[in-house]
Amino acid sequence: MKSRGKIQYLISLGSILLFLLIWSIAAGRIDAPIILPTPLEVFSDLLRILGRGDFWLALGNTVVRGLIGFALSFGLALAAGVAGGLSRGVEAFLRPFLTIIRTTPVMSVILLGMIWFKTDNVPIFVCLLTIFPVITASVMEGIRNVDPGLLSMAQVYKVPMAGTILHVHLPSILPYVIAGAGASIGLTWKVVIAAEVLSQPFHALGTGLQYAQATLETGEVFAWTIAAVTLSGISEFIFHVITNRIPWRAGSSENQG
Amino acid sequence: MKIRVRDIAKDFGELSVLKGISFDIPDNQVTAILGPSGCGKTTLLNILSGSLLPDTGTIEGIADHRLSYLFQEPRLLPWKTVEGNINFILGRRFPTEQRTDLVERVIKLVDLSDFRKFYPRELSGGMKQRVAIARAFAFPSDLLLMDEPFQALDIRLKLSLLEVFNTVWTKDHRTSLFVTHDIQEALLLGDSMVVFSPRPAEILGVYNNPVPREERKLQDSRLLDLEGNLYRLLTGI
Repeated sequence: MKSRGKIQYLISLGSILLFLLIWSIAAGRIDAPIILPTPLEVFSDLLRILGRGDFWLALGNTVVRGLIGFALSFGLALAAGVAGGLSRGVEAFLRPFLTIIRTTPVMSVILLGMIWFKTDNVPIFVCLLTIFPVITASVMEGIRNVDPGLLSMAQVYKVPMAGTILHVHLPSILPYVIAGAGASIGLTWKVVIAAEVLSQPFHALGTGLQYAQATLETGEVFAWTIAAVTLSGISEFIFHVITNRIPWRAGSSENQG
Repeated sequence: MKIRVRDIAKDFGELSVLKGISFDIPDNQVTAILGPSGCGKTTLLNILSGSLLPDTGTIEGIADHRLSYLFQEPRLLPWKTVEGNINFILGRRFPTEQRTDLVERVIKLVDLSDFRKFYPRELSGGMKQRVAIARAFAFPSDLLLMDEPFQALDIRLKLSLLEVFNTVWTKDHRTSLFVTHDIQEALLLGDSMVVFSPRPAEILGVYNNPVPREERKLQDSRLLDLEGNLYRLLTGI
């Protein structure tokens, strides 16, 4: 098993190298950095923007927007999902909203957000709305799948409703919440940056990206993009580290006998 | 005051499950319901626990009773430790200090003191069922209902769990109703045995256990005689 993992690791590494090679060749053939800079040019652009104070300010502001949007959406989705999971009536009430939100183009949400909110808050609004249906759906599904045996046990022992929700429902839905939240992390940065590109807050990754494009600094567009991808990668990594630390799930094998 | 089950009948559509069931559950005794699989024992438990209404008949002396329940599976919360699982059903029923003492005491009774901080996935099947026993006795119930809680275990584990149960019960004579299809389990646990026929269940006989709890061994000649009688009654041979 171990050597197999190693081989797969090498194959992945090879695919990255191949990609960089093709990119280099293509950039060399085109020979116009304004259309496609070489990997080395992008790398030096990246180093340059990393040395700028306003890059870190932009990154920090984008991260804060993403976290606020994610946290607000997560809280609302948890409440809506628990209510919808417990009651078919609430679910029927929520369903049209969820469908509309899910199917509305992100661009419409951004443009409307720009009409309604300050530029700094547009990305938060867009993030909140985009991931809300994803997490709500996961939570609802989780609530539906709570072990009925545990629920009847709680009922026999006269555990109050609040205690049952807190100690039976919420921990039960954790895997679903983790799945929903995990799927939302990448989405968060995508929509936050998209909203920033259009709404142009003063300090923002998206603003930097947009500015680089407007001034035809293609290398910088790539560099900002790499920063965004890295941000997404790091946040997913942190998420996995946190979710792997839940004590009752540590180790997967069920002890029988 | 003992619980009196009188003329209970229950049909599910065309299917008649219980037919004129009458027996008593004396206080501070273990009453065993012995019957073949699928004879309606669980239906009776559901009626006793109030989750199902009988078509006819009454149960006297059970109103306002608090119940403990031993299920076929342990039904522990996977995200709570042994202690946490027992604390969960106690809630705020007791002052914190008293509750801590109670939890410690029942865990000690089922011999799991070293495991009180363990999660269910770290325990064996038998240990999990011991936690369920501790939980059932920790709860201040007036009646303990048991739905074949020892069935999923192999014979050695089963006997050791029956012993654990008897040890706990000797310290706390909780009025109990124990449903099983296993004659030996009924003999070891039951102070009296109510024998059910195959569905639709009727009562074939009621026997008192001639051997005091602490002396009950399967090899005891009095129990062997009774076992023979029960065997004939259940198999019709």
